[in-house]
Amino acid sequence: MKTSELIENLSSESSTVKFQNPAILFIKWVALSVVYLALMLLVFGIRPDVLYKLQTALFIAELASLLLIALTVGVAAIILSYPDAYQKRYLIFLPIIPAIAFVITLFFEVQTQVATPVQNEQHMLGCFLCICILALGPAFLLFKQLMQNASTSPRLASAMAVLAAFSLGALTIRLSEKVDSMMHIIGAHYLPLLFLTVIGLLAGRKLLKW
Amino acid sequence: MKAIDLELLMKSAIGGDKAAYTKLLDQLTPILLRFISKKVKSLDAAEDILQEVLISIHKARHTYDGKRPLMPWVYAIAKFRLSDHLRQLYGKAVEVNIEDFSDIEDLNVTNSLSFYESIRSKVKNLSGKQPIILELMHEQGFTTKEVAAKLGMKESAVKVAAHRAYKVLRKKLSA
Repeated sequence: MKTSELIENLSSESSTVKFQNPAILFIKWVALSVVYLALMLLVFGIRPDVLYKLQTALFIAELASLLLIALTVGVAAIILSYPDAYQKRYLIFLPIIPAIAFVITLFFEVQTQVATPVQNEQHMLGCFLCICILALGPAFLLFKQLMQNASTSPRLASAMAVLAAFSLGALTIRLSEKVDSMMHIIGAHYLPLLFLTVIGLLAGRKLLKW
Repeated sequence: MKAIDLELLMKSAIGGDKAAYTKLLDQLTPILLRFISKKVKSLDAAEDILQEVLISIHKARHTYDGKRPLMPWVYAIAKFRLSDHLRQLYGKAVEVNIEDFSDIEDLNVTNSLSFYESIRSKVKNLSGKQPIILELMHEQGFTTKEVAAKLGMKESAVKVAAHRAYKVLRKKLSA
């Protein structure tokens, strides 16, 4: 087919299209994810000592930095779903700040537990599956939005989307499960996050093909 | 045509103006072809990529924000499709289909002999069995079947090795 014929065909197919603002996509994703996670929290149950834990500075710092990671990575994923990254590529570096804060918080939490060890019932696979169930909703919602757009960085966008969704899952499980052993939390909650992000990275080209 | 005019055309196009859309794509065609031709020498391949880019622009037009410059958006799509094409090309170089090279056996060995003499030093630097295969085929005049029998290889393996050697040589000679 000649290029001129193609242009004619494309023009005849064209109709009015509506631009989807990334900010609206982000707000939609956050709102629907919050509803989903709130419902799941009701199903899983809230940890009995939640009020006490919410008075602990390190616990609050851990949750706050994790929430910020989820939100900034969500922003980055949505930005990356636009061909030109909405001409705001710098936003993909936003998660670096909360990520540093998160690692520092974990370091202090581990240090605290070295001084006063905590014994908890630990179930590695159970936690991982719970996080997966919790992340399912946010991941589905985010990928649905990303697939409707046209990412020119599909791998990075997909990795960011997986990280955002599973960060929300990991955050929610901290509010549900009464486990405080940092070794368990790092090993069963946070390290799988990185593993899943790598899977998201590898599958990105297929998942976000357009 | 200025970038600002293209932006106006795009705005009209996403508003459903078919004439503006045709004009926009017509205006973008030479710009994109120039951009693609910097990386792809073959005019046919460049034309194919150009069409891919135009289709991609069409598919992604709902992601263009009328308040932002158009060309970074267009170039991002063009770069993406160009990378796709180059990646596929590289993949094909690894997965060689032997059916595509059935003409290798029919090469006129005698005519290529003098040319072979001029590139002998480069042939010697090839890897694995490639130098001996080319030497047998182009200097001593053996067919791929005979070379395969001599080297204890499958005929298809000889053809693939020869094809890869030609690619490497072509690259070295054009450098």
